[in-house]
Amino acid sequence: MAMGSTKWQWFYRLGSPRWFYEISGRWLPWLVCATVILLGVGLFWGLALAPPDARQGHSFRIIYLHVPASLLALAGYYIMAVTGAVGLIWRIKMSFMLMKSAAPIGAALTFMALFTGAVWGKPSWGTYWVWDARITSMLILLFLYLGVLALQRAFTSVEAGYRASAILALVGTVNIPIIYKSVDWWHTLHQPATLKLTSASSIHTDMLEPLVVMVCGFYVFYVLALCLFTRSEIVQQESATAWVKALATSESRT
Amino acid sequence: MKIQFDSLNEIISMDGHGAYVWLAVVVSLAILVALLVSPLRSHAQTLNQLRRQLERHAEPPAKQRDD
Repeated sequence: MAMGSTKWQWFYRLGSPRWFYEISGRWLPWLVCATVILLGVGLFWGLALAPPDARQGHSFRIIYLHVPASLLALAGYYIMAVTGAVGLIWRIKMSFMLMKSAAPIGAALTFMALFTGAVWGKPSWGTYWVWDARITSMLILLFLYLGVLALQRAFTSVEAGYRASAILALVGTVNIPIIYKSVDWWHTLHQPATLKLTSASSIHTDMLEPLVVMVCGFYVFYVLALCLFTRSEIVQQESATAWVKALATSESRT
Repeated sequence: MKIQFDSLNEIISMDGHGAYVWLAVVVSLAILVALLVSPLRSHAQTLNQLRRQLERHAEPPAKQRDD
Protein backbone atom coordinates (compact mmCIF):
# COMPACT_ATOMS: atom_id res chain seq x y z
CA MET A 1 0.00 0.00 0.00
CA ALA A 2 1.32 3.44 -0.88
CA MET A 3 1.66 5.15 2.46
CA GLY A 4 2.56 8.49 0.90
CA SER A 5 -0.73 9.33 -0.79
CA THR A 6 -3.09 9.90 2.11
CA LYS A 7 -5.65 11.38 -0.27
CA TRP A 8 -6.63 8.00 -1.71
CA GLN A 9 -5.98 5.89 1.35
CA TRP A 10 -9.58 5.96 2.54
CA PHE A 11 -10.72 4.77 -0.87
CA TYR A 12 -8.45 1.74 -0.81
CA ARG A 13 -9.39 1.00 2.79
CA LEU A 14 -13.07 0.99 1.81
CA GLY A 15 -12.29 -1.94 -0.43
CA SER A 16 -10.56 -3.87 2.34
CA PRO A 17 -12.68 -6.63 3.93
CA ARG A 18 -10.54 -6.54 7.06
CA TRP A 19 -11.10 -2.82 7.50
CA PHE A 20 -14.86 -3.24 7.04
CA TYR A 21 -14.90 -6.14 9.48
CA GLU A 22 -13.13 -4.15 12.17
CA ILE A 23 -15.07 -0.92 11.82
CA SER A 24 -18.46 -2.63 11.54
CA GLY A 25 -17.61 -4.59 14.69
CA ARG A 26 -17.40 -1.29 16.53
CA TRP A 27 -20.76 -0.16 15.09
CA LEU A 28 -22.69 -3.27 16.11
CA PRO A 29 -23.56 -2.40 19.76
CA TRP A 30 -24.82 1.05 18.72
CA LEU A 31 -26.85 -0.36 15.85
CA VAL A 32 -28.44 -2.95 18.13
CA CYS A 33 -29.37 -0.29 20.72
CA ALA A 34 -30.81 2.08 18.12
CA THR A 35 -32.79 -0.71 16.42
CA VAL A 36 -34.34 -1.98 19.66
CA ILE A 37 -35.24 1.51 20.89
CA LEU A 38 -36.66 2.80 17.59
CA LEU A 39 -38.65 -0.34 16.79
CA GLY A 40 -39.86 -0.68 20.40
CA VAL A 41 -41.02 2.93 20.63
CA GLY A 42 -42.43 2.92 17.10
CA LEU A 43 -44.40 -0.29 17.60
CA PHE A 44 -45.88 0.78 20.94
CA TRP A 45 -46.74 4.20 19.55
CA GLY A 46 -48.26 2.79 16.39
CA LEU A 47 -50.11 -0.12 17.95
CA ALA A 48 -51.40 1.47 21.15
CA LEU A 49 -51.15 5.29 21.07
CA ALA A 50 -52.00 6.30 17.50
CA PRO A 51 -55.71 6.97 16.93
CA PRO A 52 -57.64 4.34 14.92
CA ASP A 53 -58.40 5.11 11.28
CA ALA A 54 -61.84 6.58 10.62
CA ARG A 55 -62.68 4.06 7.89
CA GLN A 56 -60.39 1.10 8.51
CA GLY A 57 -60.51 1.02 12.31
CA HIS A 58 -57.60 -0.75 13.97
CA SER A 59 -56.56 -2.80 10.95
CA PHE A 60 -54.75 0.28 9.60
CA ARG A 61 -52.11 -0.28 12.29
CA ILE A 62 -50.53 -2.84 9.95
CA ILE A 63 -49.22 0.22 8.08
CA TYR A 64 -46.48 0.51 10.71
CA LEU A 65 -44.93 -2.71 9.44
CA HIS A 66 -46.11 -2.73 5.83
CA VAL A 67 -44.78 0.66 4.73
CA PRO A 68 -41.30 0.42 6.35
CA ALA A 69 -40.84 -3.14 5.04
CA SER A 70 -41.83 -2.07 1.51
CA LEU A 71 -39.59 1.01 1.61
CA LEU A 72 -36.58 -1.00 2.73
CA ALA A 73 -37.31 -3.79 0.24
CA LEU A 74 -36.94 -1.16 -2.49
CA ALA A 75 -34.04 0.77 -0.93
CA GLY A 76 -32.27 -2.56 -0.42
CA TYR A 77 -32.56 -3.28 -4.12
CA TYR A 78 -30.73 -0.04 -4.92
CA ILE A 79 -27.98 -1.02 -2.51
CA MET A 80 -27.71 -4.47 -4.10
CA ALA A 81 -27.65 -3.07 -7.65
CA VAL A 82 -25.17 -0.28 -6.88
CA THR A 83 -22.74 -2.51 -4.96
CA GLY A 84 -23.07 -5.06 -7.78
CA ALA A 85 -22.23 -2.40 -10.38
CA VAL A 86 -19.24 -1.14 -8.35
CA GLY A 87 -18.02 -4.71 -8.04
CA LEU A 88 -18.33 -5.31 -11.78
CA ILE A 89 -16.72 -2.03 -12.85
CA TRP A 90 -13.85 -1.73 -10.37
CA ARG A 91 -13.55 -5.44 -9.52
CA ILE A 92 -13.87 -4.75 -5.80
CA LYS A 93 -14.56 -7.97 -3.91
CA MET A 94 -15.79 -6.09 -0.84
CA SER A 95 -18.54 -4.55 -2.95
CA PHE A 96 -19.63 -7.98 -4.20
CA MET A 97 -19.79 -9.20 -0.61
CA LEU A 98 -22.16 -6.36 0.28
CA MET A 99 -24.27 -7.19 -2.79
CA LYS A 100 -24.49 -10.84 -1.84
CA SER A 101 -25.50 -9.89 1.73
CA ALA A 102 -28.22 -7.53 0.51
CA ALA A 103 -30.05 -10.35 -1.31
CA PRO A 104 -31.39 -12.41 1.64
CA ILE A 105 -32.34 -9.27 3.59
CA GLY A 106 -34.16 -7.82 0.58
CA ALA A 107 -35.97 -11.09 -0.09
CA ALA A 108 -37.13 -11.34 3.53
CA LEU A 109 -38.32 -7.72 3.63
CA THR A 110 -40.15 -8.08 0.32
CA PHE A 111 -41.85 -11.18 1.68
CA MET A 112 -42.74 -9.21 4.82
CA ALA A 113 -44.24 -6.42 2.70
CA LEU A 114 -46.32 -8.91 0.70
CA PHE A 115 -47.40 -10.84 3.79
CA THR A 116 -48.43 -7.80 5.86
CA GLY A 117 -50.15 -6.42 2.76
CA ALA A 118 -52.15 -9.62 2.33
CA VAL A 119 -53.14 -9.66 6.00
CA TRP A 120 -54.15 -6.00 5.74
CA GLY A 121 -56.04 -6.59 2.50
CA LYS A 122 -58.45 -9.09 4.02
CA PRO A 123 -60.26 -6.71 6.43
CA SER A 124 -59.99 -3.63 4.20
CA TRP A 125 -60.44 -5.01 0.65
CA GLY A 126 -62.13 -8.30 1.48
CA THR A 127 -59.36 -10.33 -0.16
CA TYR A 128 -55.84 -11.46 0.67
CA TRP A 129 -54.53 -11.15 -2.84
CA VAL A 130 -55.30 -9.31 -6.07
CA TRP A 131 -53.23 -9.16 -9.23
CA ASP A 132 -52.91 -5.42 -8.79
CA ALA A 133 -49.99 -3.64 -10.50
CA ARG A 134 -48.24 -2.68 -7.26
CA ILE A 135 -48.59 -6.12 -5.71
CA THR A 136 -47.56 -7.97 -8.86
CA SER A 137 -44.46 -5.81 -9.34
CA MET A 138 -43.53 -6.44 -5.69
CA LEU A 139 -43.88 -10.17 -6.33
CA ILE A 140 -41.48 -9.77 -9.27
CA LEU A 141 -39.10 -7.98 -6.88
CA LEU A 142 -39.21 -11.02 -4.59
CA PHE A 143 -38.36 -13.30 -7.53
CA LEU A 144 -35.47 -11.00 -8.51
CA TYR A 145 -34.03 -11.20 -5.01
CA LEU A 146 -34.45 -14.99 -4.99
CA GLY A 147 -32.85 -15.15 -8.46
CA VAL A 148 -29.80 -13.22 -7.23
CA LEU A 149 -29.59 -15.58 -4.24
CA ALA A 150 -29.84 -18.68 -6.43
CA LEU A 151 -27.34 -17.47 -9.05
CA GLN A 152 -24.65 -16.99 -6.41
CA ARG A 153 -24.90 -20.65 -5.52
CA ALA A 154 -25.16 -21.90 -9.10
CA PHE A 155 -21.45 -21.43 -9.84
CA THR A 156 -18.53 -23.37 -8.47
CA SER A 157 -16.35 -20.27 -8.77
CA VAL A 158 -17.30 -17.63 -6.20
CA GLU A 159 -16.17 -14.86 -8.55
CA ALA A 160 -18.40 -16.10 -11.39
CA GLY A 161 -21.37 -16.27 -9.01
CA TYR A 162 -20.75 -12.71 -7.88
CA ARG A 163 -20.53 -11.42 -11.45
CA ALA A 164 -23.58 -13.28 -12.74
CA SER A 165 -25.79 -12.22 -9.84
CA ALA A 166 -24.59 -8.62 -10.11
CA ILE A 167 -25.65 -8.59 -13.77
CA LEU A 168 -29.08 -9.99 -12.85
CA ALA A 169 -29.40 -7.35 -10.10
CA LEU A 170 -28.60 -4.60 -12.62
CA VAL A 171 -31.04 -5.90 -15.22
CA GLY A 172 -33.74 -6.13 -12.53
CA THR A 173 -33.55 -2.42 -11.71
CA VAL A 174 -36.03 -1.76 -14.54
CA ASN A 175 -38.64 -3.12 -12.12
CA ILE A 176 -37.99 -0.44 -9.48
CA PRO A 177 -39.54 2.61 -11.22
CA ILE A 178 -42.43 0.36 -12.25
CA ILE A 179 -43.11 -0.43 -8.60
CA TYR A 180 -42.95 3.23 -7.60
CA LYS A 181 -45.19 4.40 -10.42
CA SER A 182 -47.56 1.42 -10.43
CA VAL A 183 -50.09 3.09 -8.13
CA ASP A 184 -50.20 6.16 -10.37
CA TRP A 185 -50.10 4.48 -13.78
CA TRP A 186 -52.73 1.87 -13.05
CA HIS A 187 -55.57 2.91 -10.78
CA THR A 188 -56.26 -0.43 -9.21
CA LEU A 189 -56.98 -1.54 -5.68
CA HIS A 190 -53.74 -0.52 -3.97
CA GLN A 191 -53.91 2.98 -2.51
CA PRO A 192 -51.47 5.68 -3.68
CA ALA A 193 -48.30 6.37 -1.71
CA THR A 194 -48.86 7.62 1.83
CA LEU A 195 -45.41 9.15 2.26
CA LYS A 196 -44.30 11.73 -0.26
CA LEU A 197 -41.01 13.57 -0.41
CA THR A 198 -42.15 16.42 -2.59
CA SER A 199 -45.57 17.24 -1.14
CA ALA A 200 -47.53 16.86 2.07
CA SER A 201 -48.20 13.28 3.14
CA SER A 202 -51.79 12.10 2.98
CA ILE A 203 -51.88 11.03 6.60
CA HIS A 204 -52.66 12.77 9.89
CA THR A 205 -49.67 13.86 12.00
CA ASP A 206 -50.71 11.63 14.93
CA MET A 207 -50.48 8.65 12.61
CA LEU A 208 -47.45 9.91 10.69
CA GLU A 209 -45.08 10.39 13.62
CA PRO A 210 -44.95 6.73 14.72
CA LEU A 211 -44.59 5.75 11.05
CA VAL A 212 -41.50 7.96 10.73
CA VAL A 213 -40.05 6.31 13.85
CA MET A 214 -40.71 2.86 12.38
CA VAL A 215 -39.14 3.80 9.03
CA CYS A 216 -36.01 5.07 10.84
CA GLY A 217 -35.96 1.88 12.92
CA PHE A 218 -36.14 -0.26 9.77
CA TYR A 219 -33.29 1.70 8.16
CA VAL A 220 -31.07 1.15 11.20
CA PHE A 221 -32.13 -2.50 11.32
CA TYR A 222 -31.20 -2.83 7.65
CA VAL A 223 -27.69 -1.49 8.26
CA LEU A 224 -27.33 -3.86 11.22
CA ALA A 225 -28.47 -6.90 9.23
CA LEU A 226 -26.29 -5.92 6.25
CA CYS A 227 -23.25 -5.65 8.55
CA LEU A 228 -23.95 -9.07 10.10
CA PHE A 229 -24.45 -10.85 6.76
CA THR A 230 -21.38 -9.14 5.27
CA ARG A 231 -19.20 -10.02 8.26
CA SER A 232 -20.26 -13.63 7.92
CA GLU A 233 -19.44 -13.54 4.20
CA ILE A 234 -16.05 -11.94 4.92
CA VAL A 235 -14.87 -14.63 7.33
CA GLN A 236 -16.02 -17.26 4.85
CA GLN A 237 -14.33 -15.76 1.79
CA GLU A 238 -11.18 -14.61 3.60
CA SER A 239 -10.68 -17.76 5.67
CA ALA A 240 -7.26 -18.31 4.07
CA THR A 241 -5.91 -15.00 5.35
CA ALA A 242 -3.81 -14.73 8.49
CA TRP A 243 -6.11 -12.29 10.28
CA VAL A 244 -9.23 -14.49 9.90
CA LYS A 245 -7.22 -17.52 11.07
CA ALA A 246 -6.10 -15.53 14.11
CA LEU A 247 -9.72 -14.55 14.69
CA ALA A 248 -10.85 -18.18 14.52
CA THR A 249 -8.28 -19.41 17.03
CA SER A 250 -8.78 -16.53 19.45
CA GLU A 251 -12.43 -15.74 19.88
CA SER A 252 -14.69 -18.48 18.52
CA ARG A 253 -14.54 -20.87 21.49
CA THR A 254 -18.26 -20.81 22.16
CA MET B 1 -51.81 11.26 23.51
CA LYS B 2 -53.24 8.27 25.33
CA ILE B 3 -53.51 4.53 24.97
CA GLN B 4 -56.45 3.81 22.69
CA PHE B 5 -57.56 0.69 24.55
CA ASP B 6 -59.15 0.28 27.96
CA SER B 7 -58.26 -3.33 28.65
CA LEU B 8 -55.90 -6.07 27.58
CA ASN B 9 -58.79 -7.86 25.89
CA GLU B 10 -59.48 -4.79 23.78
CA ILE B 11 -55.85 -4.63 22.71
CA ILE B 12 -55.95 -8.26 21.71
CA SER B 13 -59.27 -8.08 19.86
CA MET B 14 -58.88 -4.56 18.34
CA ASP B 15 -62.59 -4.47 17.44
CA GLY B 16 -62.35 -7.69 15.48
CA HIS B 17 -59.17 -6.70 13.62
CA GLY B 18 -56.83 -8.06 16.27
CA ALA B 19 -56.17 -11.35 14.49
CA TYR B 20 -54.93 -9.53 11.37
CA VAL B 21 -52.87 -6.94 13.21
CA TRP B 22 -51.21 -9.38 15.60
CA LEU B 23 -50.54 -11.95 12.88
CA ALA B 24 -48.74 -9.23 10.90
CA VAL B 25 -46.77 -8.15 13.99
CA VAL B 26 -45.72 -11.67 15.03
CA VAL B 27 -44.66 -12.77 11.55
CA SER B 28 -42.77 -9.50 10.93
CA LEU B 29 -40.88 -9.69 14.21
CA ALA B 30 -40.04 -13.34 13.54
CA ILE B 31 -38.59 -12.35 10.14
CA LEU B 32 -36.54 -9.52 11.67
CA VAL B 33 -35.13 -11.78 14.39
CA ALA B 34 -34.32 -14.49 11.84
CA LEU B 35 -32.43 -11.91 9.74
CA LEU B 36 -30.12 -11.25 12.68
CA VAL B 37 -29.77 -14.78 14.04
CA SER B 38 -29.02 -16.46 10.71
CA PRO B 39 -25.85 -14.47 9.82
CA LEU B 40 -24.62 -14.68 13.44
CA ARG B 41 -24.96 -18.47 13.36
CA SER B 42 -23.22 -18.92 10.01
CA HIS B 43 -20.47 -16.51 11.18
CA ALA B 44 -19.82 -18.58 14.32
CA GLN B 45 -20.05 -21.82 12.32
CA THR B 46 -17.44 -20.66 9.81
CA LEU B 47 -15.01 -19.62 12.53
CA ASN B 48 -15.54 -22.85 14.50
CA GLN B 49 -14.93 -24.95 11.39
CA LEU B 50 -11.81 -22.98 10.58
CA ARG B 51 -10.51 -23.34 14.14
CA ARG B 52 -11.00 -27.13 14.10
CA GLN B 53 -9.27 -27.32 10.74
CA LEU B 54 -6.33 -25.26 12.01
CA GLU B 55 -6.02 -27.37 15.16
CA ARG B 56 -5.93 -30.56 13.11
CA HIS B 57 -3.12 -29.21 10.93
CA ALA B 58 -1.24 -27.83 13.91
CA GLU B 59 -0.98 -31.26 15.57
CA PRO B 60 2.35 -33.07 15.19
CA PRO B 61 2.27 -36.04 12.73
CA ALA B 62 2.70 -38.66 15.50
CA LYS B 63 -0.55 -37.60 17.17
CA GLN B 64 -2.60 -37.59 14.00
CA ARG B 65 -4.35 -40.89 14.72
CA ASP B 66 -5.68 -39.76 18.09
CA ASP B 67 -9.22 -39.11 16.86
